Amino acid sequence: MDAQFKIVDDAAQALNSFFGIKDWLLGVGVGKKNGVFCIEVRVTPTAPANAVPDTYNGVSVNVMKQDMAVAQ
Amino acid sequence: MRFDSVTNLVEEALAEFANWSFSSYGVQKLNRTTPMVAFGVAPGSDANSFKLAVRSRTPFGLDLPPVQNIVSQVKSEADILVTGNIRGPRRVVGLGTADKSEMKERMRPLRAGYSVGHHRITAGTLGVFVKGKEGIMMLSNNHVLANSNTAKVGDAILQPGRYDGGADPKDIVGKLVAFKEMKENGNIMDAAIASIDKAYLPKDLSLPKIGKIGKKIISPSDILGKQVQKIGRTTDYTKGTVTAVNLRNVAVGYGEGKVFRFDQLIEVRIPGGSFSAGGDSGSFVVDMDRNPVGLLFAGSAQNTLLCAIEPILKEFKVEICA
Repeated sequence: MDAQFKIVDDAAQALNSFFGIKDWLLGVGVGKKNGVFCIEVRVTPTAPANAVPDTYNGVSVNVMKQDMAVAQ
Repeated sequence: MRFDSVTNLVEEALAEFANWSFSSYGVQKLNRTTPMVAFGVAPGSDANSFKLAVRSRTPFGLDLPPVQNIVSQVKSEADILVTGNIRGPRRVVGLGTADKSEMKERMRPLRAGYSVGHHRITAGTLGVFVKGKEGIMMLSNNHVLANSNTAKVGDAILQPGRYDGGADPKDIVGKLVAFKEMKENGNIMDAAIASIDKAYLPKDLSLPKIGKIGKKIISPSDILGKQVQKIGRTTDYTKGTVTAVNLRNVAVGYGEGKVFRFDQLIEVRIPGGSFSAGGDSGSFVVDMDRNPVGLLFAGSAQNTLLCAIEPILKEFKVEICA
């Protein structure tokens, strides 16, 4: 596994633990923005403003609002 | 049907739905996650004919007895769509008779990508063939082959799925062999395997419209930001981009208020479109070199979710037939 990926994945895991279970939280993972790994956070449209930080453990955070997924 | 015949049916359907005991189906009260079903009038084959419109938020809504009763009365005169969670304007994709993907047809010998399902579900997709100590088997989702934890090993599997005209016993093609039980939290897969009757064993192991499956399993970190492709029962062949991997704490609705949380998921998106829709569950997703990536199992209006393939192969002690 790419060392940079591992750093971001660890940060994503830490952010996920920090959030815990929230009814507005739909997932925390690793993405790529402008060729650089980042933390990806998925939230419902009802998530409180400022619930997700811009960076966490020095890693930038990209957040997207969406519906909860259903089994297809 | 005439317009007034359909409106009478709508009234009948709404009355039956209103009077039906949800508690007998394990649903204690209606809430946001209960599958809601709507009825109305849809255009028919010409300007003077009409169909009964059935709109369900999830495929599970179509399994509810009052819905099945009314649909069995009108058969091909029903126009059925699974809408997902509706929030303003969005694309609606059909699960039933409204769209005409060839992947919903009966296929002998079996091929990956076609409609399949446990005899009590609507329909999903036969993902890929795998080989284990029981021989060649089919791999798809738990909620496709094992009815979301409620099936028993040995239960009948139909091709096509019941919603595409598959009938028990004439379309039984195999039996449930194993499934990974899904729990409230900490799941990493929605997966099951089923045997295949000798007469229906596949002769062509490739993915329709994609080709021969590659041997290199692609890790989530290697697939991030790259394109992937799949063939599925509802949306047929689609391509999308992997936008997130190792997604944790992902809540997925399974109807009747059931929510399971998943880790280690892969997210796929298409800008302004849908990589998948209801009925594509179980589709095998590969990269553009046709190497294995994951098993499609859930989605919303904005994204599609895959379980990584490697843990699934380890769980069932199988390898992909390529």
